[in-house]
Amino acid sequence: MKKISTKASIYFLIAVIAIIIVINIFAPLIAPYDPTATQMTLRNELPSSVHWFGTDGLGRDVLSRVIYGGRGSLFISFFATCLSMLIGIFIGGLAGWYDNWVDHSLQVLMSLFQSLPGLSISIAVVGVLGPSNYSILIALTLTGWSGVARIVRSQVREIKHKQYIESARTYLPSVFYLLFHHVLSALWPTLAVLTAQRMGRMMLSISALSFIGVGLQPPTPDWGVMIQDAKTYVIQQPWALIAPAVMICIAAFCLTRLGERLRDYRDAQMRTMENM
Amino acid sequence: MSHLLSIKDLEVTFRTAEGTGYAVTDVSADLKPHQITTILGESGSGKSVLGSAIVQLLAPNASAKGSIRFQDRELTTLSAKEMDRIRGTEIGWVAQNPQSALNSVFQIGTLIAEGPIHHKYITKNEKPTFVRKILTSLRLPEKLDKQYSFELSGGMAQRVLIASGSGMVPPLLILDEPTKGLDDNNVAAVKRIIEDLAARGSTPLVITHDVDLAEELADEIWIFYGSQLVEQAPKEAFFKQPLHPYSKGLIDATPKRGLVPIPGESPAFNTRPVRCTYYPRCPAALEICRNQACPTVTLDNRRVKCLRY
Amino acid sequence: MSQILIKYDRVSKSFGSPYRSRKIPVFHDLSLTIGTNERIGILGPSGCGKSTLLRMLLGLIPFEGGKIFFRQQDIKKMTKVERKQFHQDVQVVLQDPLNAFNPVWRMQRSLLEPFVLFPSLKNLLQPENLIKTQLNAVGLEPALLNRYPHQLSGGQLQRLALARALLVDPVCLFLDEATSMLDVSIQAQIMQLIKERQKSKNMSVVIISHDRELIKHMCQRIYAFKDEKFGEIKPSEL
Repeated sequence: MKKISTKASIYFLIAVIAIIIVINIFAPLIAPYDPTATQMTLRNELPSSVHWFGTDGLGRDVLSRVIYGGRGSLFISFFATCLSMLIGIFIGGLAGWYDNWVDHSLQVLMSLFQSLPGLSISIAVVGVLGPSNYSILIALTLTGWSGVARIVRSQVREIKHKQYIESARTYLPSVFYLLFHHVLSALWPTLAVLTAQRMGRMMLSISALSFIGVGLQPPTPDWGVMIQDAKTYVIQQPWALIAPAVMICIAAFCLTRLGERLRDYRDAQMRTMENM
Repeated sequence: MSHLLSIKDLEVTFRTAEGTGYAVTDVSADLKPHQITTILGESGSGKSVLGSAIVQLLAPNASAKGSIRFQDRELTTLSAKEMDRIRGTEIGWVAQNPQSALNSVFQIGTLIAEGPIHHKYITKNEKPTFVRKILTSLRLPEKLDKQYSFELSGGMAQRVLIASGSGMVPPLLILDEPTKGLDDNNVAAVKRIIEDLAARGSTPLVITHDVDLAEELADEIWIFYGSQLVEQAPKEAFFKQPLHPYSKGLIDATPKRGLVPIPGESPAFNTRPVRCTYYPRCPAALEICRNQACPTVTLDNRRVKCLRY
Repeated sequence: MSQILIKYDRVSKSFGSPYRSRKIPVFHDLSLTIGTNERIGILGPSGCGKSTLLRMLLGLIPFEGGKIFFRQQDIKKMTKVERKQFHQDVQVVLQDPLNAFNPVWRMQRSLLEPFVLFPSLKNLLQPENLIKTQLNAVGLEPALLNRYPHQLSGGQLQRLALARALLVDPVCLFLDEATSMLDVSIQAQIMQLIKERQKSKNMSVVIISHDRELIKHMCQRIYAFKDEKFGEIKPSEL
């Protein structure tokens, strides 16, 4: 069997993720039914030609709910990833660049946030702020940025001793010029990898939060919420549970895998550069 | 006279995204035993590729054609297992870049004894005495055997690397750029080690870009340029009167002999070179050099690949 | 008689580490003068502190005792404008050509960098033409500007680094082991270029190297690190 090239699998994963995103954006056009409309006469129907994935405990169309179900988690995980990346790059960049008290104090801050147990802190934050999209966003950013900052810091520490940075420093630019133009440009492959991996992980966290009831709230059609709703009737109607679970797996797997493949691709590129 | 190593019509090509690269073309040479031979050439000339072709350690995207005979055995057709037995016991290989070639989680003593134990040259119990003997023979401190490679300076690491490659005094020892990045004192130490090994019966084949090192160390000099072996000569005769125009240019470019530049750039080949690869830069080029293939001519005890002879 | 351009006056430097209380001295009370329009060599084995001298001058690392003057002015007491001018006047070519340029930038952008960062050059029209002229002077094709560093050879990269240093018309050019990683024929090309430029532009050139033959051949005055001492030596002493 021929080995699938890294590049091809990257394109494939991007395509799958793009399809999921497009389906969610155009959910109102694609979904056959209103995802929140209940039909008490048609509860826990098994799949049929009318309802492809059947109906759930309240008689809502499972297919429609699955189509709508990624909206919340994709949207929130995207923003939470962006936000934690931005904070992580900023703090990690500064910590990596300086050798003095700036680095020391920022490192203490990072350690502090990294020592927090992620999920329980998220639950606590949502508990205090009340369940809403914003509180999930804040909870995930709060627990997410420190990991990014740590990786960025170690990368910056490595890059800043490169000779081209030293050359650029003889032109007396500002620290922000160096960080923005030279360091960041060398960093972006790492950042692309990180973004994909983080987003996959954030999706899982959101689903977990929704499942235990502190994430997205019913009746919002969300994969995590759907699993929670369906678990009571899992014997009569397993489809209502399997469908959203499979979707979570596909989305999170593709994102994490994309991160890994991007990393492989970057490493291969670096190797060919070194061998020149 | 029998030859230790005999290379015939060797060609090494690399498959890359941009096509096929020709690293070594049309190389034939015989290595005389019990003397130091230096392969001298600039980066990209193919000299290191020749070294890895002899020990059959070419990169996976490379392929070799031609014949390499070592003590009447054809190395190119040996199985990986047989080659593994020869490598280390009969052909020693000292790679470039000591810091990354030495595994930093093992003690130096373990690294030196690893090969000989693997090849059953010594037993595990003999390890301490063996390591001590090697270290003293290379004029390294004995207490080094309990240290790790990251604790060593570049010069020390290079000497340890030679120690691990030459533990069994192999009949043929190939050293790839053994003095790269070392300062004068360490270069002198490495030079002494190579001379010692030659005196103890090994035949060192030293691959280098350093003209001065070649002049001080070698008995026989091979000049590589643009994937081809352009000249082979005994050292004294070579430095007195280099025959190939490139040899002359290379010698004159050293600071000691006037720092005269050779105009133009070193070539890279993605088609098999048909004429002399030095022709575009050659100040002594003739009309016939333009489209005629260039044979290797034997003159007394030297060989040169140039149409002027 | 040439004037004094750069003067190190009894400079001391030692390296410490946060995990060790003892500081390791690199050199003590070191003095050195660089005049206008001369070629100076600084010779020493690797790890002796030759490059530290240059990094102190450029403000890349701090130093403890003594002073460094550029045109009679203490480099620690310069105003922002003077400092910019000083860094424009003193240019460097460093050791490793493969790391001399940002690997994800095309050469064009790297060579335009001085024009972006030096205020006196910011309003210059058509810096691209200047770059092209400079490339011709070091014997390179302008087409190389569209390539990335990993697509070029060490010799080409080091000539590009030289071109970038010469772009801003420096009065003093430092070469810190600039040819030690290159082949001899390319070293000869670069050194010949530098000698020609030094003569035609009346600039000073400081060659920092471990290669005594190179320094002997290129330099009029020579300083050397020898047996933990630093001082001027006569070329005949080599």
